[in-house]
Amino acid sequence: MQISIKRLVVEYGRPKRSRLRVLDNISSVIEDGSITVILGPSGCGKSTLLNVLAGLIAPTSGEIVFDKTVLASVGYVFQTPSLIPWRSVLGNALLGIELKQGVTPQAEARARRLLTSYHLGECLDQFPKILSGGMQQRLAMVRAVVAGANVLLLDEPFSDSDYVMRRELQTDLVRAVEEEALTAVFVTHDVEEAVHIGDKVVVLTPCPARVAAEVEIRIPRRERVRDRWVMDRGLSPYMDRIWAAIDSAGGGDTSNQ
Amino acid sequence: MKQCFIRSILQILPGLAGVLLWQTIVYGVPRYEFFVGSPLGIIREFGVLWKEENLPIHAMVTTLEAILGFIAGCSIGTVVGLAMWGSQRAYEVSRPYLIALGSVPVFAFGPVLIFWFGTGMWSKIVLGFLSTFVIAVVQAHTGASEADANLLRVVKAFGGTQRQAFFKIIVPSATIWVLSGIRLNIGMALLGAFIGEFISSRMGLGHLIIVAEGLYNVNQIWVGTICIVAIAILFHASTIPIERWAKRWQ
Repeated sequence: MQISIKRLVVEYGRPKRSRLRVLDNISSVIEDGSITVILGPSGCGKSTLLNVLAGLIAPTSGEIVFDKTVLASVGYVFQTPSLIPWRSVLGNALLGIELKQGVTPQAEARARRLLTSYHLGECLDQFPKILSGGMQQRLAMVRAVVAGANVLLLDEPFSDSDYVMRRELQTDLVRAVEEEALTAVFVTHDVEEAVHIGDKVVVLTPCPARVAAEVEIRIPRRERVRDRWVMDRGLSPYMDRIWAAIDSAGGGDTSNQ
Repeated sequence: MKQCFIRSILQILPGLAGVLLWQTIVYGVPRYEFFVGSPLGIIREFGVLWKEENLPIHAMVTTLEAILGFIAGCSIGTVVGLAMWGSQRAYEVSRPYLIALGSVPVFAFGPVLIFWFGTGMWSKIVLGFLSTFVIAVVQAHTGASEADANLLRVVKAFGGTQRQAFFKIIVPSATIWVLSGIRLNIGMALLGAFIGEFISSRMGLGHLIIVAEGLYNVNQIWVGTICIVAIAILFHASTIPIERWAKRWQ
């Protein structure tokens, strides 16, 4: 699913009054089957861009053009897992499909298979409260996939996880993108995370967000996730380019933790 | 299990001690029984009322009035409170009326309700309804308003409709609030039925108490009161498994 973002502008506030411009003339192309990372400081408008892609916010001007050959279905993974506490793990995984077209036996079988595949098979009938934060986020990801999403929007989903869990979740995401033929847009302010999972890193300036640089990572995604320590040396030129873009854009609080 | 048994014994002991002390005092000074009654006198009076005054019928009338008022007030109040989630305007318009109805002791409406609906069961049912309605509306509306905004955002992100958000997020979110309203309303519905009977009635425990008051029969007053307390405890106990089921995910 190729997505073209064309001269996107988003402003908040009432018409004819002082308006806050959040996104300023953003243009980019998200390639089919890729993981595109949107990187920028907190409050620069990354989540707004994701909300426009999800159709939750209408842009002031500009447009998003989805590949017309495939029916676009967007799945959203928020910063907090946002699971329904009174539904079981399986019930949560089925929420998206239930809202879209209703649960079929095939959908349920797929949900069970995916949950098992992502280490949640043991707790299908449990409530989400028993899951760790990382497992909850994994369930939120499975929920989006089960809903039939071919575009996955992820808004800093792993920021609350510890380093080890974040690595596992990043590997899971890469696996899901490859196995389920997804196109992912991943928002983060963590440069290291961006180069480890992204095929392309779009660096945004502080608010109003403009595209400061687009850096394509040419090392295969699987290798980057699998051999992190080996890869750190290979990835350092990309990180340098990204840091240079951030510095020239005046970005403050992006992290290299 | 043993802990539970010890706790039960400890809970019963103060009550039992109080009853024994009461009976001992009345035994020592018999004229006190006229003013405070006595545990043995209450048991005796209970037997008399059961055989000669149809006590179970009186208790059933009060229970039925309370249940019908409670069901009407809680169900209509909950539906109205939840429906207001969809319309902020409706909530703003009705808020002053709800505040007014919530602040006035509903029992002040007792005489006028008896004037409109007669001295039979209907006036007590309506009084029970009015006593429970406002609490049910406020609890349901608060529960709906307190629903997690992130969950509503998830439903929206998946393309869910307002109706789906209502039934899948709002209603279950409000359940805990509705249940605590129900717990409060059990007492309110009983009080509504009881006060209605107290003002004017032909049957019910309130009627039995007001008659006993006229006859200076303190033991009969106690029998009526104890029956009301027993009904309230039974009502309350019946909500415990429902509440436990509704909170199982917490």
